[in-house]
Amino acid sequence: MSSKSEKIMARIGVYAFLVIAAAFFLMPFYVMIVTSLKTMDEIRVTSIFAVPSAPTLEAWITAWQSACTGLKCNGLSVGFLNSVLIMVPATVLSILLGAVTGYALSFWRPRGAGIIFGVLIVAAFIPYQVFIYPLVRMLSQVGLYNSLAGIVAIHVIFGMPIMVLLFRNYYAGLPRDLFSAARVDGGGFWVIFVRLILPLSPPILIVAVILQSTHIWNDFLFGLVFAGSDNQPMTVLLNNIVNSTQGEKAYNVNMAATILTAAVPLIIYLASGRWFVRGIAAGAVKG
Amino acid sequence: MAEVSIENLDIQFGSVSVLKDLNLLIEDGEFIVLLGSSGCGKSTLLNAVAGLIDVTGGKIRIAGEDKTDAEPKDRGIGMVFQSYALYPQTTVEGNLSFGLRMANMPKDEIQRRIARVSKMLQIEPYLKRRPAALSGGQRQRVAIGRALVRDADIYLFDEPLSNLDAKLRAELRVELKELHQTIGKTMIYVTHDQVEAMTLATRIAVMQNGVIQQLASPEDIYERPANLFVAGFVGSPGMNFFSGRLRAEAGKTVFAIQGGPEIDVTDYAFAAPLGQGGEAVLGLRPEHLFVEAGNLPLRLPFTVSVSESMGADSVLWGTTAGQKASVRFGSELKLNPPRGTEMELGFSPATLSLFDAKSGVRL
Repeated sequence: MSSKSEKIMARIGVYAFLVIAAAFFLMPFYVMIVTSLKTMDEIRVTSIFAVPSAPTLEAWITAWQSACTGLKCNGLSVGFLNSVLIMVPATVLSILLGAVTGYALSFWRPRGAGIIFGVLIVAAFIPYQVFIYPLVRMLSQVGLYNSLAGIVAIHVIFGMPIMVLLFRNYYAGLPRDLFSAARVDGGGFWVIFVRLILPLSPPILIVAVILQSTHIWNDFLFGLVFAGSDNQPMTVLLNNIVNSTQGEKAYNVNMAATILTAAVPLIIYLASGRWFVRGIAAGAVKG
Repeated sequence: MAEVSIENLDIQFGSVSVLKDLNLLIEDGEFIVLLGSSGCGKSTLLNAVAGLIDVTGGKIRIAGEDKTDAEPKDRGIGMVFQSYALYPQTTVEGNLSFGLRMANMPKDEIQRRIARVSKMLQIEPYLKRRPAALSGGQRQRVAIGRALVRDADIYLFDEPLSNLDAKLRAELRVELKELHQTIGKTMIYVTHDQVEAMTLATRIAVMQNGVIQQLASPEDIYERPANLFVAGFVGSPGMNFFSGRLRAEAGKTVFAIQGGPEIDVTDYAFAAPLGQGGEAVLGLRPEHLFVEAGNLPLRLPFTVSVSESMGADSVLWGTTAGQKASVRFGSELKLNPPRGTEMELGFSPATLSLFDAKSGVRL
């Protein structure tokens, strides 16, 4: 018995585990897709694993255009637009704020930088729910409650701890001499940030975009509480479709609506998985 | 014109005091080397002159003006870092012009300066390359070039050669010396390498624990170290130290080596007249002890334990009256005495140093 055959056995074990794990996570997705392509009649009589006999996109069209979300019956399309309007500014703003703060904390080290950073990290561990009532009061005081600007501001604020942590740790890994050289060369706070630090940041910017865009897109609670009925994001509408019970449950429409809502983060993950893992590792180890 | 005056400088990081009441006057055109082991405060001092760290107390004047709180760019300095610190996202040319572009200098003037400096440092072939595509020596040349294009009055070097291999280090050392002779600007250079300090400096400031132990020419530092720390830090192998007692008797001054012979040190140039005498340390450089005593007036017994050949020189390690000692001599003597050989070494009173045993100060 050589170590070679032992190695092959180990390999087989590893692959077996990976295949089973992948199947475990893919099976529900498979069920969702086949169910969304069936008619309600077919769903009632066949197994949930059965391939649709006559695939139809009717449920998808209903989910997008005409499913009822409470009183209105306009489908998810309105929510998609709202989600985009919330996600894009909130992602951009929270990343910019996080990058500038992380840059200031790791290079300029203002008095009390350690305390500021500590408070941010602690804040990241406090459950969101604790903040909701005071925030509702505060936002309504300044007239931002139930508005697009309000929900964007909420996402930016709650994104700060993780964004600052991410950027501070990435910048801590850059050589400090580089910053010193730029100061001797005549750079001020913003000039060094824009001309030296930002051009070195793409790896971590990609990670930040992935983290924030998926996180904001997936948010349900803040959207429900702060966005107001005109700006409800896709997740809130999805909940309304799935949970509004008038007659029978339209499983095919529910499945289609869920896949539609999950499509954006899913595509972001699939397209950027490589950078995502790399950036998470970079952000986690250094610092 | 561009002299640097450091007055009563205090620097603290939190509760840790790194520099305390430090004074240093650097003349225009001088090449000052701050020499010391890591943690002695030499880099802190350099960074304070550059304006990269906050000063707790005291003043830094450059060319007569108070620059204690000035921004680095407003101090008329150029700086070279140990890690090169080249901007990785741009080419060599971009690195050289970075500061000038930020200062909104006209394009033709930038071009002229880059051409002049890249010719002087022989980096013209790499102008379009990125730092990642350069070797260590080339990178450090570019880093020096980036400092030079600023046309500063003072150049600061923070261990610029420490990341290079031995051969390149020797080459660049000579180039730096030539550069100083060519442009004649004030230079402040931090290093822990005593060879760099001895060869480059017009004056060396030997530092320990945030205090300048001695500020003098390389020759003075080597021949007349101000205290035991400087004597032991500079020189390789280090100076021999023999402890014993110093006493005056009948118009003569005698140093009695502990458990060993008495040495007549009447001809030693004492810094101050010797009073009672007392515990002292006799210092002798290994190359000032001679295996062939000839007609040298003073003698020491020596027992060989190990012999080392270093090419041009050889070193004998052993003991004198039970205290560790080493002797350096030219390899052409072809001496290889076996362990335990007893010999007599000769030396001259002009080459010895005497230190107070308690304070370590040169007598």
